[in-house]
Amino acid sequence: VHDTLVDRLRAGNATALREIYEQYYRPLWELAYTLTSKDVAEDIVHDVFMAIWHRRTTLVVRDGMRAYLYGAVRHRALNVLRHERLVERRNRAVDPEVGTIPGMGNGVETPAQHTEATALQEALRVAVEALPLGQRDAIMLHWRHGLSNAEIAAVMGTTTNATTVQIARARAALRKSLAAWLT
Amino acid sequence: MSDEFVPMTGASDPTDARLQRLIEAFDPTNGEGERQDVAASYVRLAAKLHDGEEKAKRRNAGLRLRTGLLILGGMAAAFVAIFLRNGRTPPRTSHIVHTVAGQYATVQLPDGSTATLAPLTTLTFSEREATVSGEVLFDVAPHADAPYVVRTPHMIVRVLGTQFAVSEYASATSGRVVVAQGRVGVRRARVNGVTSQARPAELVLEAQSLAQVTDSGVSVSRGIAINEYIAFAHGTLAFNDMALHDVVTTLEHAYGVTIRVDDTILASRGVTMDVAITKQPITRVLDLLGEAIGAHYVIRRNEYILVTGRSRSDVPGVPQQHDIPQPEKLYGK
Repeated sequence: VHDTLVDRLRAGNATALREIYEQYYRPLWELAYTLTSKDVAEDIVHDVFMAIWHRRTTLVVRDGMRAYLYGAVRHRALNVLRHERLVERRNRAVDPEVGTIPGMGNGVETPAQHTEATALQEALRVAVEALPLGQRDAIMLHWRHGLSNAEIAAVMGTTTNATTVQIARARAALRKSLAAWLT
Repeated sequence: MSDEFVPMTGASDPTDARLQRLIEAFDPTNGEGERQDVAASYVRLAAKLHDGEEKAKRRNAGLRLRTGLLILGGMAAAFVAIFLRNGRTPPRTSHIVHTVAGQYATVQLPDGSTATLAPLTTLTFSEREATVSGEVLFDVAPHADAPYVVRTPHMIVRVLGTQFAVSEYASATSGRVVVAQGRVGVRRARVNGVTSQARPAELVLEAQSLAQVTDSGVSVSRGIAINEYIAFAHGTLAFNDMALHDVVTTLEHAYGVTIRVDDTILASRGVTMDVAITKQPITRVLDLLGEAIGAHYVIRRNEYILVTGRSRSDVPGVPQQHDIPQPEKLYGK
């Protein structure tokens, strides 16, 4: 299906662009959001699709449309990060003083009305953000977005073996930090 | 097969399987991603692509070549129909209509309403709902049970059967709605730059009134002459003491040309005139405009330049203006 979509895109078919956009917008927006912020996530996805449209006649999609789009969004988001120095803001967000895992003793008191679901969501957020960038992206792309190890390697510009190692490390770290939720 | 063999994938280990399920369900955006409106987002992308192409064309092409291409492009881009897959709501058909510079289009909407698009406008519509980037005059068929809803980045306009014009071009800091007949309700789509989740109060506009909607509020003028705002739908442009630089922008859109006014005093002068877009070529319009404000135009590098003073003969090397061929206007369907 994707090959014919790319063919139609090359031929200048705007409906093909729209189909790709509708299929991938939400997950790509989520990826851009997690790397940068809500304010620029849509612009990052737009930039990628504008570039695809402008270069459609010479577009080369080697590892499949999905890996291409994720890779382009991640690349663009990291560029934005660098330029806007959002890195600092993100480091502050994972400051252990700001939020720790509920039930681990030294964290911010969970309000009584918080349901178990929001506590779990918070625990996941803290645990995932505590991972190194490469591991975090690898495990999220693998389980949350359903990408194969080969696709993730293409997205992140590494090898399939390196991806396998990063996923295994992320999994081990998460098993540790989320132990309270996994029994 | 040794008993010590541990598989690399998490699926066979119950703890890993549980972890995998947690990560699969973990939404790092806290539901923001779910609330993203894909269709509206695509309209914004389409508007950006459109603006980019306009700029490229202005840069690259000659006047004659450009206007010809714009019209061809407009016809090619005319109708695109697709099915929207939208999570929880049942699938519905959505259409996009695009006009380029110099192009007007009248579209019959699925419920019997009509929409007339000014140049450089993108209209996305489905049953009883539309999104506008640019300027559109709606003539809405009454449906007591289902209000018609029109969205722009700044406004949400709700109608029960009326004639009104909505105007908000990409990157504008405000939206404008003008009511010709009937009544419409208008409210802000955003509060201080953020798409509003709550519903700001809705203002009801009577016929012959205008609302200007920004991030911070809505200002309403009642009992005004609205003809100049809806005249484009009848093939005319009506300027009523409008500043020359605004007139020039409207003419650029209408004719797909570039017009410059370097003299700031001249640019702020008020203009009152009617232009029959379908009958008068841009050169004739600029002649009349020049007579009205004591100016004339010259052509340099594919631009029309308005200059103070009546004489043309004192500018050397200027070609005969009426030799510039005029593209045929595309109007209606």
